[in-house]
Amino acid sequence: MTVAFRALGTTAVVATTNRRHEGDAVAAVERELHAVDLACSRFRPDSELVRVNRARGECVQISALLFTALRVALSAAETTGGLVDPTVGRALRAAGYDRTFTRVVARDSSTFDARIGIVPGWRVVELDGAARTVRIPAGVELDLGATAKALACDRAATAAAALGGGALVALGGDIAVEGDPPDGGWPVRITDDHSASLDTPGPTVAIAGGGLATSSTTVRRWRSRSDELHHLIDPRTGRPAHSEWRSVSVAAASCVDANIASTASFFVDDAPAWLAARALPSRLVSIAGECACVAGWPEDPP
Amino acid sequence: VPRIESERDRALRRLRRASTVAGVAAGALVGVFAGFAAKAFPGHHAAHTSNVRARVARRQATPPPLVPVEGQAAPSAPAAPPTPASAPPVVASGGS
Repeated sequence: MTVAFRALGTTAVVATTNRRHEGDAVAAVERELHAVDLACSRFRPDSELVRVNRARGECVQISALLFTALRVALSAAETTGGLVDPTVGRALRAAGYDRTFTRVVARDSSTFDARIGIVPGWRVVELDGAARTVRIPAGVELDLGATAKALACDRAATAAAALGGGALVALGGDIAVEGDPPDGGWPVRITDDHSASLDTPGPTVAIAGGGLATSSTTVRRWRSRSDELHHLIDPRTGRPAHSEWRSVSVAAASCVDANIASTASFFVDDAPAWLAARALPSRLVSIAGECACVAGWPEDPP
Repeated sequence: VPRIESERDRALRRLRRASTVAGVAAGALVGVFAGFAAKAFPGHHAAHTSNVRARVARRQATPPPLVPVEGQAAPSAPAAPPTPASAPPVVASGGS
């Protein structure tokens, strides 16, 4: 059974092998996604992250969930040498992603000029595990978009699978699977756009555990008066990344790991080599549409 | 005596001219330095813009000192890579 609904500004899909507890599994996923949204959203005025971003340099007491999300985000920054950095919030805002994406694309582009934002770097974030507090300098804005969605998938899949059987949770193209998969694994269509119809041309691969994430510059795009922009901000320049790849899919031990790697791929010089060096099965699609499969990702069928 | 007075008058005229030139030069210098000062310490609006530009310029010139990518712990590989599937997909993975 597969159930789809809107969550975290995108489409959530839940599939489970446990027919007896399908409804409970969906409810468990909805609870997890709602909790992550309330903790990590950059746009909900009642979210914890908004409170942190508006704290003007003051120390803020945070929930265990936001603490986990921040720890994951900082770990992503550390393991990628700062390529996946949560302090891109202000740069995203300067680039025009200063409201929900629906409202970004609805804005009259002729009235808007993108600016270059400042990315101060993840080391300015002071996360205190003992006191469960966070402090960021005044003017710094955190954006957890790269990791919080994937974390939500991992947590939701774990919650759904705890009811028995196997579960798949997808959120805007990021996928986590947990528990016993169906025979042959969970079949996933790889596309440029996660919201495309399932009969859209593209390879189908099966995963039995862990996570799969696709990052792409083709979907979350918008225009300013003079530029076309996208949401993958290179922390070293504060601008949307210029990459030879338009879409990168990565399979990893978790959805968080897959998302970290697929996002970082847009900022490294040689993404196939970077992914292969980490034994991360990946499929990269160039701007021209040519595919490269590395580290055991199956070649596209002819 | 008339000759001495004439020389004194000429000296006084030279002195007045020198004073005038010095006054004009001082005024010009005051203007120049005021201009420099205005650029260095502008009002609130201009200060914000120029500071941001200066920071952006510095940032473009010198990327932040990132931890070297190589040698860091990498995201973990899956237990098994994806396999080709012939079954109908249950979901799509793509950009969002």
